[in-house]
Amino acid sequence: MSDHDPFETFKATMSTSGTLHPLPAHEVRRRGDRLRRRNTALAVAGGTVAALVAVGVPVALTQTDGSTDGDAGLVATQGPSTDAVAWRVDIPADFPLVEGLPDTNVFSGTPVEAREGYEPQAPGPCRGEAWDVTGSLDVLQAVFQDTEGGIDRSLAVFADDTEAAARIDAMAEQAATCRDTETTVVPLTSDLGEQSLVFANVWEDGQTYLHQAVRVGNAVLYTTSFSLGGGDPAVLEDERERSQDRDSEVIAQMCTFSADPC
Amino acid sequence: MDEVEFDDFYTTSYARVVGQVHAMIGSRDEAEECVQEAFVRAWAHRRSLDRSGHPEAWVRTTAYRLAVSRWRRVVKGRRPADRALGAATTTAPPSEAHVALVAALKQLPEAQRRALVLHHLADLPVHEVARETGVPEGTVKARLSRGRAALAALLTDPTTDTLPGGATSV
Repeated sequence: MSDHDPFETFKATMSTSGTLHPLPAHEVRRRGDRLRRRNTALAVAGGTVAALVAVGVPVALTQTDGSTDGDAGLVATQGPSTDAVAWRVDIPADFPLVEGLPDTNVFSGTPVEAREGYEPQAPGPCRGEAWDVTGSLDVLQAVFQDTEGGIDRSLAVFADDTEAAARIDAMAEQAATCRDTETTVVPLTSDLGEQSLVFANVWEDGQTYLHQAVRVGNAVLYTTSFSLGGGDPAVLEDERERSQDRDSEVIAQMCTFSADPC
Repeated sequence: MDEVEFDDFYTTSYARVVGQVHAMIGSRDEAEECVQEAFVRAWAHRRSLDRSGHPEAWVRTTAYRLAVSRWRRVVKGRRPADRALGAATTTAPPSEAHVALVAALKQLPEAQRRALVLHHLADLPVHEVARETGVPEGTVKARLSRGRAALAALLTDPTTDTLPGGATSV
């Protein structure tokens, strides 16, 4: 570098030029403590349900009447709802559903946008429809179309957290009980929001659809993505991480649907 | 990291990290907001901060990720008043060379820009840049080489073949 290196000139002045507005350190710590308390409350509020732990093996499940069903009945996930909770009945107009998705679709060049309603984009377990938004109060969907497959993301609001949780439980049951000759359901570990479920639907040739459902309060974010190479567990894990990372900011914004909204 | 250690870390590194993130993203206001939020998260996740072994890199990376997130541009409009930044600390306005460098960096591909800032402004060795950006060292070297060449072309004064401030190379 020369004696008149522009980087050296910049470094000499970057800490002192312009007007800065630093918060007092005690205020930074106060806000950090508040953030930590909120994150802790979200993590423990309804209990977090891990995904299935073995291929084809149902999670030990308890029905609401206390009996068990060896053929994998619904998980009775009790949320924190009480009669006093005023659940949101719609999705905020500025909710960033497309955050983390590419700006435009590959072939058409059209923008990736959120639209009202929901249409399945990926086959679910046993090639059926995995996600049911019937009776939801509000639902938005954004679809990104890639050269092969793409990413589909939808957000649905239900009457309360119990209803939302039951929809994820139903998907978990469908995944756990699927016995198909052409596809295999591979469960993956997930720990997002107040409740989450992640599994891969893998074809014999390796084509794979990853399904991820995350609940916060009475809303569920459901995402599917397409990939190849699903016969390799490392590929599936990589896809799971990518999906989680891609959805992270949207999931963070879902705190608006919790029993104690942000 | 206890309160005293954090306050000292915050006080001594805040302006420096704002300058580095400013150079990475081209907007000083956005850089300061993101760095401020990154420090709030740093205190909330101080155990992760301690485990990382590189607290300033943790804050810088967090701020950078916040800055490139489109979410911030969507929600900034409805940011509550209590999330406003602190009282202004007025200093000298930026020099012509300072402004020119930021403007030139902004024209580079994001990956080259980030590598140049981390290596030349944050003084990180190549292997540290590789660690912070999550790519191999060879990739970092290639980005630095291409970035320097592109930056030199952008900063060269076409009338005098010198760089702003009298520099002759980068």
